[in-house]
Amino acid sequence: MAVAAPRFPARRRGAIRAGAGGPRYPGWLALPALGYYGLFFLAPLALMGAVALSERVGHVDFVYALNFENFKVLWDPLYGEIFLRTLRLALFGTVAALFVGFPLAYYIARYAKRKTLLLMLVVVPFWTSFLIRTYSWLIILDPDFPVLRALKWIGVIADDFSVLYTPTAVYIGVVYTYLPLMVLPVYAALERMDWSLVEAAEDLGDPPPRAFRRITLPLAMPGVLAGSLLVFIPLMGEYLNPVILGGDKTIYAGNLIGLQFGSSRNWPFGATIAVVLIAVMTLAVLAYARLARREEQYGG
Amino acid sequence: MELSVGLRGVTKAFDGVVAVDDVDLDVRDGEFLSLLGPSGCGKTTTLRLIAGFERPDAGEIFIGGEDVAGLPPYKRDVNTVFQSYALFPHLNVLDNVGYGLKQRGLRKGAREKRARDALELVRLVQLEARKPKQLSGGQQQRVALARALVMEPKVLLLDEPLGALDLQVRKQLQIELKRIQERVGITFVYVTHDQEEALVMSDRVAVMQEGKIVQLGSPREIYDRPTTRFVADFIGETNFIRRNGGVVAVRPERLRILRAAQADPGGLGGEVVTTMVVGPAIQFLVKTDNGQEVLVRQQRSGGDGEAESLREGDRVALTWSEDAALVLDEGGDR
Amino acid sequence: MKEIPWEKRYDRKGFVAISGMAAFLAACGGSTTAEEEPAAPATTAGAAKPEVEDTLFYYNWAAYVNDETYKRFEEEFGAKVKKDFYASNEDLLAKMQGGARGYDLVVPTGYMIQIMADEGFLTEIDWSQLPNVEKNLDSKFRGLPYDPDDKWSVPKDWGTTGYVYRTDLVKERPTTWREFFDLTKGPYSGKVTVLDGIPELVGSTLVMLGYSFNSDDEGELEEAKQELLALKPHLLAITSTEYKQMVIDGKAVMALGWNGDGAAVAAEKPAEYVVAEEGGEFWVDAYAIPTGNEHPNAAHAWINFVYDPEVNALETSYTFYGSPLKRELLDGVLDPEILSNTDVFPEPETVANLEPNSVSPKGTELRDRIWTEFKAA
Repeated sequence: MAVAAPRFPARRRGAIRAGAGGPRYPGWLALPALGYYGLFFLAPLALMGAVALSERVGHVDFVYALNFENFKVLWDPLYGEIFLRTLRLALFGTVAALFVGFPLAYYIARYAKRKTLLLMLVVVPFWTSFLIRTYSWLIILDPDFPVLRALKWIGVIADDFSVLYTPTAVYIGVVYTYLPLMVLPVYAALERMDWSLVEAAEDLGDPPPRAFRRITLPLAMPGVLAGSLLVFIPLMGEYLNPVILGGDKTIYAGNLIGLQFGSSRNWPFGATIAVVLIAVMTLAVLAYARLARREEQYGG
Repeated sequence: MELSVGLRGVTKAFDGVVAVDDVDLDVRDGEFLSLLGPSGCGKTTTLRLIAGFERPDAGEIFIGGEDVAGLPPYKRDVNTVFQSYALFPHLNVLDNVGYGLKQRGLRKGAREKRARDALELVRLVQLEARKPKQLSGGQQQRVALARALVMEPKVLLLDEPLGALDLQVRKQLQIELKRIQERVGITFVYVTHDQEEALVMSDRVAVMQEGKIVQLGSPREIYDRPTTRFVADFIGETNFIRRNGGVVAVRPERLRILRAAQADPGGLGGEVVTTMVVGPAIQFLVKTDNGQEVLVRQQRSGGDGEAESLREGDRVALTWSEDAALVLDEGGDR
Repeated sequence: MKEIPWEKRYDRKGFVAISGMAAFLAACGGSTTAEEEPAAPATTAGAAKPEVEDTLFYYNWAAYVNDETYKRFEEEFGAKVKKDFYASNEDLLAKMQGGARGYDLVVPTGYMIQIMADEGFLTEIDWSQLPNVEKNLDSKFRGLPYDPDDKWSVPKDWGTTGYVYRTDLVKERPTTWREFFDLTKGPYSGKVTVLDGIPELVGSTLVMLGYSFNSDDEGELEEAKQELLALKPHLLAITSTEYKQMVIDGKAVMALGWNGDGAAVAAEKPAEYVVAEEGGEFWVDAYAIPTGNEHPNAAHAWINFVYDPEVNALETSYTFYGSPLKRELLDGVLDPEILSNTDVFPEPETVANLEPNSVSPKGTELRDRIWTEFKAA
């Protein structure tokens, strides 16, 4: 049934055109945040870019220039291999965090009675120093420590099983470290979920796995994407886990950059690697933005 | 006569609270049966037990003659229309309706055709490309209905499907639902707390209270001959009149009201408190001599009826016929 | 990165864990901690000494100075010692590069002295304020390659780079680098660690092949690289801070490391520290006075002070790294057990075979590349 469009008195027309749709806040309220962002994020980024283009001088110094040498050096297969290895770590870590984190988030969102408590258990370790958490894994994975001893005694693992200082230990540490970042967004998405939709799907003939695939998963997808991004990006720059749990034996992009700013004293090269790494991460974010926009259509 | 659904001694409790208490029920093939009662009476739980979303603690459930006790919902030949519609927000109307057809192995074209047929049944074909959030409540309900109907189940279960709609839309859909059910011929089991709705749409009504079915019969039977005080009270309007040491339940329209002077002795005496014209009827609130308030209703007969001349303060006598009254004992129950 | 040579100091009191933590914390962000010592009552200074200021800002490796030494210095000179700490030579350099000013005294390792001098971060030493040093410094430690004119630095202590192994867990008795490599690739694969230090590792490998520790010849370095790549898969870990504890615990049976740590292991478990026959690194940590200092006299006073044999003995008995003083001066003031411990004071013949770190920029670049490949393997 059509309703006649309301007619506004002439003198208010300007106001409507300018800010129609909601309360108008003065733009300058954003200035502090923008200023902070510009000063502590954009400016350093620009500086990093400038250093990436500079030239090395003497032992330690460098001079600003328009030098693309470092980017050419980076093209070496050695660095390509390190990049790929880092990419593998980031992808594996993200997928593993998803495999561990999704069921956990699902359980808390759908079945748990004490949601807050469980969520706290997931989040609180995050408040502890990253360093201490990673170090505690050194202790847990120590062959002399009760955990592995008990497993060996039961017979689940072989007597000479040692995972410390291997890539496996790094992967364990990485999944553990970033798990909360995956669990929370996924939980948020599942928490909003209308579970009667799953009942409807079952009613219409879907066994639970199929209902999960066709209903739950698509609707949880925004959370999955957000969580994946939150895990993938820091993982690309991962530094500590390989050093502590991996016995510093393997070098990832983060370690490579650290090396340049440390003993190699080659800041320009370090900045170059950082710039390329940031470019890769930006691509990931753009991909996410694209996917997330498509998700908007699903609403719900 | 074929039985679509049979319940034998079905019991279900949650956390120690009994929701469905030893219920027996036979639903006839092709009938429109309502489960009617106040909230908490167990009607929704009964429906969910038939659908398979809950497992009974005791008793058996038969659908189409088959014992479905161990079967999960996706293996039962029933479909549900949910109170919240439960439309899949990430799919458009056509895909929603065709959702359950996917695993039947039909090709896309065939699925879409069937979905459209169902949409035609609910008169929504032109909206097939829309997403659920772009539809009104009534439209969403019709899509939910089409989605269930397209599966051609043995029984269609409807859980208070019209609860969230405006009066106008509700009335319209009540009629449509009835029409569709008659056309398609599927057995409908319909849950509602709105007694008017149940009476309008159903072939039979099962009135439930505290987990039990207290009366099962046609709308007319339920209305004219309630077997318990609860049913009498719940359905329509009823006066509970204390008389001769007992209580009698009489509907307002079954009471005859006459001027005291003209009435036979033996009627219930009282005084008119208010008169009200309500559409085609006229209502009187009468304060009886033994202190009760009784509601009387009569159809107006065009201005020259006896009743219509009554005014406030007039002395009147109320009578009723035997079969119009339900005699209840001291406690108020039959 | 060249990790924590300050950790070379021998730690008898078991500060390893805390040190390790501090090291890694520093590795993550170069954190430093500052402490303030309470001011000691002023006492009259000796007439011959120049006017020592009331404060000394000492930027040093952590736990590298005997507390007793601080106390005595403050009593003697009435100067308050302010302390700040770094965990690697690179951290120190980064601080200087970043424009840090106000430090009076720093203690870089030899090669870093050269770098800092080249970059203009150091001021010249005024030898007229260091009579004790003139008198007591062993001639072996003069004119070292990183500071040929002794313009910028005065040695603090010195040590060697070799390897330590558990004599009860290793049947063999290796004495060469080649044996170290072979045993690691052979029966003890997966139980050996190496230092997280480019010069140490690459240099030791070069020496094993018969080349100079400081070689910057591409061919020689390429050979060293191949050896290292072959070694890599058999390593348990690459660490400069954890290996001491790992060998004590038996998690590792052998570790490439420094003499002080080696002596520490030998004090707790049956073990032997080896300076390889082919040679290796002999390093010196030295005092230097950075630009931007505010209390140069106090700095010189400190250096002179710790060259007093008694004070020096205090230091050596705390760090367990070799003293650069003439040996005969230490007789009688230093615990004879320590004095005769060849891990703390390697024999002259041993030292003669060693080289100090002094790599050219070209060599550094080549080593960086090798290190990256090594780590990436």
